[in-house]
Amino acid sequence: MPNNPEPLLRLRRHAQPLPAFAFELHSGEKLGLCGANGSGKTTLLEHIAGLRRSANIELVMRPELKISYQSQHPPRPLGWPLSVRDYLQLAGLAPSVLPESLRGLLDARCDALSGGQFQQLALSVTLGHAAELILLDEPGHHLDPSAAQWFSTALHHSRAAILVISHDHAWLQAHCARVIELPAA
Amino acid sequence: MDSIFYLPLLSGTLAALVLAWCGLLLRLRSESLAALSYAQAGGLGMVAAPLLGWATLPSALLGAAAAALVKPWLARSADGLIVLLLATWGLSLLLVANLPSGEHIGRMLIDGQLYFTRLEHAIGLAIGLLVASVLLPGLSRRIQRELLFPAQPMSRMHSLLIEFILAGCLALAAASIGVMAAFALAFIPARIAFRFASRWSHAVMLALALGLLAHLVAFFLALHFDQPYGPVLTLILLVAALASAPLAKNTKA
Repeated sequence: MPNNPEPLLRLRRHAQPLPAFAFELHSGEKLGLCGANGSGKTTLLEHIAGLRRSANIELVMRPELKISYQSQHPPRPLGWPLSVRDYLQLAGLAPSVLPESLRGLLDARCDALSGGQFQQLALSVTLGHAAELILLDEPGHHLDPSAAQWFSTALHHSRAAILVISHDHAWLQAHCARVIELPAA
Repeated sequence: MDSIFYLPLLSGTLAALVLAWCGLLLRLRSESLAALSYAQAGGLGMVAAPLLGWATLPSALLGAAAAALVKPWLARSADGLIVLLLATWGLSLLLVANLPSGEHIGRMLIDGQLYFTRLEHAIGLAIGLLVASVLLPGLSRRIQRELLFPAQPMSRMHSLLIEFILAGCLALAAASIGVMAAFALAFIPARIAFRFASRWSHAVMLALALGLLAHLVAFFLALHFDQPYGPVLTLILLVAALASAPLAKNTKA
């Protein structure tokens, strides 16, 4: 558990339409969220990322908190002449954030990557930002065993606080210090 | 070539370059139809010039600016751009039918008679190209970031600036080369570049080169065979699009 007693964020979801619950997240802590479809996991992450406002969620965050967020389906530039190198430049990151398996594909178009390769690229960018809080919505999509291993290692070495959603309870237990199950309606 | 054709050649060259840039941004936002709407809005402004007592070029820019203001609101619905297109087209043709000078201006907009272009068109397009060259590279990066990383949305000011630049450039080009030719120059080079370029900077270069080449070929063919420039250019671009379609690669990394 973290040394700093002051949490990075405190979140409380009031009852209606979904059941109430609350949690705190501390600096460097890895917290897993699971729950049935419709339990509000994605809404909650989008609220923290500032992409959506939900009236029944009360959120207190440390001021100027640097957040890196990856949605369940990161937008993919299909039919668009964007290379992996371009993608990294737009994210303001160097090729060194990429896993070895993608470094040979710097000049490939993003829409020529397989689903797993693009997911790995998006994860490299999300984890590569010097953020204090990383929000990941079902990040294990499309990853083959070696990519999943790379992701596990990257997650383990990250010093940021991480809030990750997954339906894979065993994976969450293996990678997170705590796992919270969101109550369904 | 007679010296009276130097100015049309220059105006068309400037239009080809500026429209290729505009087309890339519109395609990036999946709003290629906005190119036609903005060109038509510029045309409406030109036709309405006698009503306002203005010269045609400032009036075209006014029409485009009005379209740029309402377009973000209209584009919230799937058919918003079609509403803008049909409204500007319908109003333009009504004015053409009812104003004394309407028929002459309407003919220019349909035929795309580049050979009647004036110095103010070339100056307007040169300013448009300068603005596009300076601002659009940075603005295109903002658009791409917004599309790829939704947590980094573009400010309203930047969004509106993009609309004004695109609308202004399309209107200026439509005033010189006609509505449909302006749309074709914005739409087709960008479409081909999106399919064939491996990265964004290559797409920009490819679209500019294709637009310029199509303009030069159309200009000299139209001149040689004494045909209107707009339809010749549009058909050349269409042939290029059709010829390139089977060549598109679709390989996985």
